[in-house]
Amino acid sequence: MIPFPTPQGTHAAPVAGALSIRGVSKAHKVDGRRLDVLREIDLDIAPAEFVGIVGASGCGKSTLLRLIIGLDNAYDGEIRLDGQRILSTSLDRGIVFQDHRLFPWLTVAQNVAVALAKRPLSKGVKAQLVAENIALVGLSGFESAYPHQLSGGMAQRAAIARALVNEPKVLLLDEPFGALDALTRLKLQQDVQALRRRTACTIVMVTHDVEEAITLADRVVVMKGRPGVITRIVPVGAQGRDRSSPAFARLRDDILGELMAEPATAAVANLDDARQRQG
Amino acid sequence: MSFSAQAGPALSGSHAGFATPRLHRLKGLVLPIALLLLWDMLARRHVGQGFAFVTLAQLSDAFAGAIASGDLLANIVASLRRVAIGLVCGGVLGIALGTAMALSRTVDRVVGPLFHSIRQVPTLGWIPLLGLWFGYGEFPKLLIVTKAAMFPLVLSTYEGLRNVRQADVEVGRVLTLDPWVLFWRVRLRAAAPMILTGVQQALAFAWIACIGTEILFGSGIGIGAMIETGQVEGNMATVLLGVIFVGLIAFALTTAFNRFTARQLRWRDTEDRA
Repeated sequence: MIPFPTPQGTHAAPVAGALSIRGVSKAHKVDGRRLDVLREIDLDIAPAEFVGIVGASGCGKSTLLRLIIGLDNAYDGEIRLDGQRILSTSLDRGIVFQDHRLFPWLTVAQNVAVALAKRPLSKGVKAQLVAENIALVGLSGFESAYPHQLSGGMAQRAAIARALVNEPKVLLLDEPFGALDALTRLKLQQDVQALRRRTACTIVMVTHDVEEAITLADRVVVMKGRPGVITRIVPVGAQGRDRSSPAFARLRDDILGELMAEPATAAVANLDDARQRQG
Repeated sequence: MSFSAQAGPALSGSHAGFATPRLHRLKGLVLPIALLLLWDMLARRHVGQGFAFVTLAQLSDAFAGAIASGDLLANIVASLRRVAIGLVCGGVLGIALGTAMALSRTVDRVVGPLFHSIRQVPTLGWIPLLGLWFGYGEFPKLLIVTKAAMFPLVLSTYEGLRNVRQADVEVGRVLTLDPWVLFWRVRLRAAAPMILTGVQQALAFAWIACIGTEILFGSGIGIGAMIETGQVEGNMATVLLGVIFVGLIAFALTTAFNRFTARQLRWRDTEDRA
């Protein structure tokens, strides 16, 4: 584990990032009826591990990330980070959403800097951290651009810089490349791989792209919906990462088969759901 | 402004004379000048009714006289001062009340109904009552201008803060921003376009209320008072001079504020960005 390069070494404690998800169930109330979103989710994620969660729309995978980031604590079961129960948001955990969610009224540099608002650092150190992280995602020269002036891929890079600037123990990616074109998506996937070699944080990525999950993750978690449950956890070996290898194709077919093997009615419902979300 | 910026290049071929944006903007002067010339023509024809119609020559004499005596400047300064004080007081009160109503359900429920009933009464409808209570001095005038500036800002601040995207607030929570940082740097900034629209309205309403109050009170100094005096004295040139300056100043204030707004909101991806 190579620690994330910082000038001042702002984290005194060794970087860990073990996530433990035990018996997590979550339900929404819709028109007075109880709608189960997640049921009995158990998952342990090791420090510095990269876990990809795949599943159809509406299987609860994004909800699970909301619970891990701490935006929602009305659920059963418990989620712990290095033994500490997660009860609210914390700078230990960073997240990148599908829509970049940069503040449109702040420039790229200001958007990254606002993430440091709670840190007791001098202005100079903050400016340096902002500049380093913008450089890390390849956005040097765009510090004073406003989000609407950026392409989708660049905005998502800025969002990644904002999530990384606090050196989180856990980085959550919620379909981060879902709204990008195929080429930009491939480029950003390579960048995330490169990023992994430079940071020691645990990464949990939710995606509906099975190939993306296999390429990037150490383990692929397959979820199915209504209510969301984990049906399989597939480890990805070193050969599995190579998109042209037979191992990659086997893994992909295996996981896709798992995703498709659900009752026809549920599959149709999920498709309808996906269409509605897009339409 | 957006129109000229968009149309400029496209028209440059066929209307070479209006090719530059500056010349393009001068188009707006054509109609007022035509109206003044028409006015002058009518005034010359009906010389017998010179009481109602003054010629441009008489108008410019009155203008020169008002400048020389310093009356015009003093009246303009007095009116602008009232508007400035009213805008600052009404602005602070309006944004504060709008914020309180947007953020606190209790305040919304307790103050809301009263606020919305008072809102139905036109600003100038308060003049007789305020006159009886406070006389016809400076204070009730300031009170009316303040009220005129305050009400649109309560509404726009309320609406702006109520419509902040939940996604932006969530990012604030993810970054563990303190409540006041979340308010200043996220909620208020997200509501800024709406609030600035409110300020724009407040500016217009405050100016109208100021002139209206000065005319109706008919005392003290100010452009409105100048118009009122002109009317009482049967001095049409003074009345017309006052009306022209009311319009010119309103136009200047609006233009200046729009520029300020465009600069403040340059982060928005809108057509106005030229």
